[in-house]
Formats: sequence, structure tokens, C-alpha cells
Amino acid sequence: MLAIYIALSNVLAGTPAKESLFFFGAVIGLSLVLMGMMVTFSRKKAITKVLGYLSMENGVLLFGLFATELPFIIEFLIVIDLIILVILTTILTIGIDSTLEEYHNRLHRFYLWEEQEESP
Amino acid sequence: MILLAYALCAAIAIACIAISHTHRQMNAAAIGFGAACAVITGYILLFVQVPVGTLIVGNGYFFVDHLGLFEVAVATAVFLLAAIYAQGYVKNLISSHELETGSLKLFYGAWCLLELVIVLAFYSDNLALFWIFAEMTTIISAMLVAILSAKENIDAALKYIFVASVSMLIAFAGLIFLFEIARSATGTGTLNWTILIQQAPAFPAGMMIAAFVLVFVGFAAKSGIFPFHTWLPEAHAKAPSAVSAVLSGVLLNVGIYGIIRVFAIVHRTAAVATASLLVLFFGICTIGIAAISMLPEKNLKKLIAFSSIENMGICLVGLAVATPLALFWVLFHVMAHAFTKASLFFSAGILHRQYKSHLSADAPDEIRDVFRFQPLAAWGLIIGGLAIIGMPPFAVFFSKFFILVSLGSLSLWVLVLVLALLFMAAAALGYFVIRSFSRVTPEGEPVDLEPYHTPLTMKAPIVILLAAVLVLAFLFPMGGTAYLDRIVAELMFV
Repeated sequence: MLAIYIALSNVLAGTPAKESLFFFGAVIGLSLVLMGMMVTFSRKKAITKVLGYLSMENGVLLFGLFATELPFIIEFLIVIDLIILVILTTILTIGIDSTLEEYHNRLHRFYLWEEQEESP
Repeated sequence: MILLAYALCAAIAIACIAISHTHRQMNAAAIGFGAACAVITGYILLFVQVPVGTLIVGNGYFFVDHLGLFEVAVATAVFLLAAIYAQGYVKNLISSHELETGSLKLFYGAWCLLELVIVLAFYSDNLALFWIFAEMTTIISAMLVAILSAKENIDAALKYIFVASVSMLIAFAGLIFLFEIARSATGTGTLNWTILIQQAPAFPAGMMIAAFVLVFVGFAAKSGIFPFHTWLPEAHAKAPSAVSAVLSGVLLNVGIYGIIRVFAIVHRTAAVATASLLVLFFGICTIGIAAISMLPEKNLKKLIAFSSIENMGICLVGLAVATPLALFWVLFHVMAHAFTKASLFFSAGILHRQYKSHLSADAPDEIRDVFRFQPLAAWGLIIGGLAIIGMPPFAVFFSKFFILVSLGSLSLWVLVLVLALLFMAAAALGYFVIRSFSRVTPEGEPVDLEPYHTPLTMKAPIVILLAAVLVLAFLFPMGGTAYLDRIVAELMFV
């Protein structure tokens, strides 16, 4: 967070955005994004990866709230988009408490699900 | 009205898929949708005066300009041929029990939806809207990658989702920066590209760099640029070949298209020097990493996927030079690469059907007696390989040549470096082809392979694409050049 503060204050120095609320929003949002990214890439379990991803999403949306007034429809679509993504990811990682390696052993369960879902 | 036509066709196609029971019907619906999209695009290309601003009640969310139309034309062509190819390919997937009959509806439904979303993405004026559609292409194509009943596919799809969408979130932070820039410069915040490009000279350089870096990270992951390329070989190698062709020929273009749009804005501000340096650096890194990874590669589809990464690197290098000439050839390269790479994946798909090497996507391909079993696929691979490394009569040669010439005017040493890396990639491809195609069972020994009868629908797309790549180079000056010039002018590079 400190690093981002310093980096951003260097980048944004001399622009009108330096003093505004936008600056703090940017610092907080980007830090949250980076933390979420760290969680996403350092965990083995797919479900904690999803949690990290959600935290990143929070960061971006917080940044959006702080910074500006985006058009409503855009924010709405983004949220829908992310929800679809999270649902799909959870379907794919259907064995909740399995790591990516163990999860290969449980895959036939996934096929069962798919057959039930898809059979006409 | 035009967008409504696309959406209507998609709705009809998906409804047909939902009520049909056999594979043939679903495939016919997908082909029909591809053809309808191609017809609509051709109609716009020939008869409608672009740019069109008011597609849906003039709210500024969608528009058609030359660049978007160009990308849509390339995308619909690849989609149509891939759908035709899928008829034979998917049939064989089902008969060898790799794809369950139950997933067929999902497959073709997602296929049509993907085409619609990509078309909408290229037509969106608002950058945030473009971001949403790009993100949706990630989701849908990950679904297409994961559809085969193999565990590696789901693994690859998860990797694809995480790498691509995590980076896309960072890109959205960049878009918020852009929004804020526009707000402080013009008073009203907007992400409409047409307005941003007009106002660009007033934007402060520091903020512009921050915005560009963040956006670049996101769209670079979408198009497989160096630090985020890890998902690409996995996903491309494990997807069904018809899907690989679409991933490589169309989805990578979505990322490059985003980078081109934002770079065009940066190009009009003072931040352009830093941004070009960044793009050039990552472009060269991408070419380098792809060339080095190609050398020891023993899996055909992975090799072709790395070659896609290399070509995206070339696009970035051309973009970094940022002269109108270089941009012109970058656009040409996008098109030539899409066609050539699609034909390569089609050929590789036939070989994979023949040798069943898809079951272990990491293992080396066991290709033997290729000319005896699959002469067309073998020649398709040889000619396509020659085309993609940039041999003279093919279209890729011209774009690579002129991009490198414009790079040479920038710095000779960088040119030599890039040339060496390209040579390495070409050598890797040639080495693979010579080694695996020259493996022949001696006369008289029993061969335990059954020749796979390739249906005409799988052969025709390869021939059409290779002919297109060959002819494109000679027929393009009639009308095409003026068209690309108009794109360059619209991006305000002149």
C-alpha cells in the first residue's frame, strides 16, 4: 500500500488529481487489487483463488466508487459479468475442498453432474 | 438496426440449437449463423457509409467504424470456416467418446454466443462496454475449452479464466483512470472512444501513462503477451481444434484491438515516448520467449500456439514504431495471421484425429507415415508453416517485412535482434515438421494405424484459407489498401 502510495504520488505529481479524493481511491483500490492478485496466484486450492479474485473485484469497484460516477448501466453490466464468471469458476471447481491436484480424482463427479444437467 | 440484425440471427440460431436433437441440425444452425453474420458484415462493408454513430437509438454505446468493421470481417470469416470444419471434427469427437452427446447443445450454444459477443465487442464505442464484452469472450471461450471430457481441459480452462480475468480487472482500473482523465480535461467524464480521441491532446501525460500501463496489462493477457502468455499454449493445445482456430484467429485479435484503440489515444498525448518503449520492450520479450519455447517443443498444437504468441509480439513491435506505415502493416498482419493460423490449426486437428495424440496434450506427438495417411493435412501444415514464418508469396511475408523495415528505421540493433528471434522460431517450426514428417515405417512392416477418412467439410476450409492467404497478397491492393489507409486516418496516426 505504501509502495503504491509512493508510486502513484510520483506518477500523479503535478496533475490536478493529486489532491482529490480520486488519489486516495486509487491508492486503496489498487492496493486491494494487488493483494487480491497475490492471494489468487499464491493459493493452490481453486476456491481460494476465487476468493482472491473476488477481493480484486472489490478493489476495482471501490476504486470506481471513489473516483468517479460511472454510468449506472456500465457498473450493472460489470457486476453481472463478474457473477457469471464466479459461477462458472465454481462449477468448474466443483469439489470444493480439493486442490487442483486432488480434484482430478474427483472429476467423475463432475461428469455425473453434467449428464444430469444436459440430458434432454 | 445492424446490431439488432446480428442479435436476432444469434437468437434464432440458439433457439434452433435448443430445439434440435441431432448433431447435424445443431451444426447446420451454427453454420447458418456464421453465414448470416458474414452476409451482414459484407453488406455493411459494401453498402453502408461508415462510420455509423447511431446503431441503437443514438446513445453512443455502439458504433461502426472502419477498424471495428475490419476486425469483424476477419472474425466472421474465421468463424464461418471453423463452423464448417467443426461438422466433421465434432462428429469424430463424439464417435471416439471424447465429447459427450449431452454437451453438444452447450457447445454450439456457446459457439453462437461467442460469435455474437465478439461482434458486439468490436462494434462498441464505449471502452467500458468493450471491456465487458471482452471479459465475456473469456468466459464463453473458457467454457468451450473445458467442454471435452478430459481433466487437462478443465485445468487449462481454469488457468485461462484466472490469468485472463485477473488481468482484465487491472485493465478496468486503467479504464477508471482514463475516465478520470477525461473528466478533469473536459468536464464530463466519458469513456466514448470517439470523444476521447478528439480530446486526447489535452490529457496530462503522467495520468495517461498510468492508465495506459494498467490497460495494457489487461489486454496483453487477453492476447498472450509475454508475462501473461502462460495460459495460451495450454488452452490452445487442449481445446478442440475448431475452437483453437477461433481462439487464435479471433480472440487474440480482441486483445490487440483493445491495445490499438488505447494506444491511438496515447499517441496523441505527450506520453507516447514512454508508452512506445514499453510496448516495444514487451513485444520483443514476447517474440523472444515464444521463439525459445518453440525450439524444444514436441507437441504440434502447442508449437502452433507459441507461434501465435510470436505473431502477437510482432504486432506489438509494429505498433510501438507508431508510424502510419507500421500501423497499416500491423492491421494487415492481424488479418493475415488470423487466416494462416486458423488453417494451421485445422490441419493439426486432422493429424490429431488421425494419431489420437490429444489424449496426452503434453506428450510428444507420434506422427508417422503422414503422407500416406493424411496427405492433405501434411501439405496444409507445410504450406501453412511456410506462410506463417513469412515466406515470400504469402500475405504474412509482406506484413512482417514492412514491420521490420519500419523497425529498422528506428534502430538497427533492435531489428537484428528481432530478426534473429524470428529466424529461431522459423527454424523451430521447420525442425519439427521435417523431423515428424520424415518418420516412415519401412516397406513390408505392419502398420497398426487405421487411416482416418477426412470428410470434405474438414478439408475445404484448409484449402480455402490457404488460397485466401496466397491470393490476399495480390488482390489486396484493389480497394483493401485504401480501406486500411482510412483506418489509419481514423486512428489519427497521420
